[in-house]
Amino acid sequence: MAKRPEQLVREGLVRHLPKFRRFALALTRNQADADDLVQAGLERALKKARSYDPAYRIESWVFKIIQNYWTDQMRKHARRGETVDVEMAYDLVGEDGRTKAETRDLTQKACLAIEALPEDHRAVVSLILVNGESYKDAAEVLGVPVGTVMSRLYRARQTLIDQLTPDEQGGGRA
Amino acid sequence: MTPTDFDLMAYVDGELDAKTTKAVAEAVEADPSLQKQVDQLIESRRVARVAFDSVDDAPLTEGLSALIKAIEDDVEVESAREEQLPTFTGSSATGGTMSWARANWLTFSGAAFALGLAAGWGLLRPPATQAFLQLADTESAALSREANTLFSKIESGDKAHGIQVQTSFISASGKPCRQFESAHHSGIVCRQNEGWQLVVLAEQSAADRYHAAGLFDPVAVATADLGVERVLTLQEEATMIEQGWSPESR
Repeated sequence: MAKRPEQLVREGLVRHLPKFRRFALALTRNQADADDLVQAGLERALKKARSYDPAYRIESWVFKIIQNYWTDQMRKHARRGETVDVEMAYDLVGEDGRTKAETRDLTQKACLAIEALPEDHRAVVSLILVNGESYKDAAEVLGVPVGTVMSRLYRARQTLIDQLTPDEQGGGRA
Repeated sequence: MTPTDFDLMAYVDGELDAKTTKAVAEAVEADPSLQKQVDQLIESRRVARVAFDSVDDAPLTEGLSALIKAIEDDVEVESAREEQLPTFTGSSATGGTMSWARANWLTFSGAAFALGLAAGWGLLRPPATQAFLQLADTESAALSREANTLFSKIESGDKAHGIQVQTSFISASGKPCRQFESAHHSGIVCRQNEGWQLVVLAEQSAADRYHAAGLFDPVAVATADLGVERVLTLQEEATMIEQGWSPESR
């Protein structure tokens, strides 16, 4: 017997929680805020569960709910475009005022590089590179054409490569 | 062909159809600068994943934890009401997800391996472009001996028993996988426990080059789910074939 949409939603929310947290972190850049965002997104998903169409992948459906909620919040608080002090966020300034760049490992460098990307680039990186969404699904979640997704993803990757891959000119910036 | 930057990126991400994938793979193999670009694109994916690794270990906030616990309780109650079914799911005729009570019938016989001839196929075949079966857990869907032999021996581009392997790649979890086509179907098999297992089998769609995704190309979706660590060059593939796809040959 086919499962009811509400049942599929509940199972999907639990099963794909790590994906939702990664996506939310890409948007918020802060784990506590990310979990708050996921919580709000999941609560919305539960409320709308009866209308869930099993023809759609549950992850994409919830990603879109989270994305829409985030956009609503940003509009509400007029915070779009707000910048974060990356060095403060990651405690990159040592006691003597020098950066700790030399001692950062790949994880820290990777976090920094992601953190420094624009929000729309972080979103595609999280959806496609981290969570394995297809270009088309990512486009649907973000409400933009596939070409835009590819363009953002390509530019984000170039930035990551520039930041983290030593090149012939003497190394990356991180 | 001379692949564009977007072609290379789509290639690395498993977003191209089999024919274009093969063309790009050949171009990359012939041009070290393209290979370097491909390596960088793969590296960028690794970097992105590394950055998000820690999320999985981060404790949930109190509110989210309580919510997940409540949902899990509901799921548990619902599961208890159901007959126990095995673990894998597939896209149904209506595009939804269905549970399959038994996997054994999927074990391909030699005849069924011709794809489309199995007695159950006509009954189970969904409308065009929907996956016939996509496994979430490949533990119990081994192919027949004939199919295993074919996928172990056939080179990309060659055709045997109506099957043509389009490309071979290493999945994100390190498993060798092969994308194949027959006259009307396409699919992916991956190496598992010294044999090949079907990951997805779908009717072919006459889609555009960037047609992956969602409900329109189950093979592309499956490829994205698997993740492409790297596409094997023809030389690498030949080595794998020669060495029986053993882990040492990767």
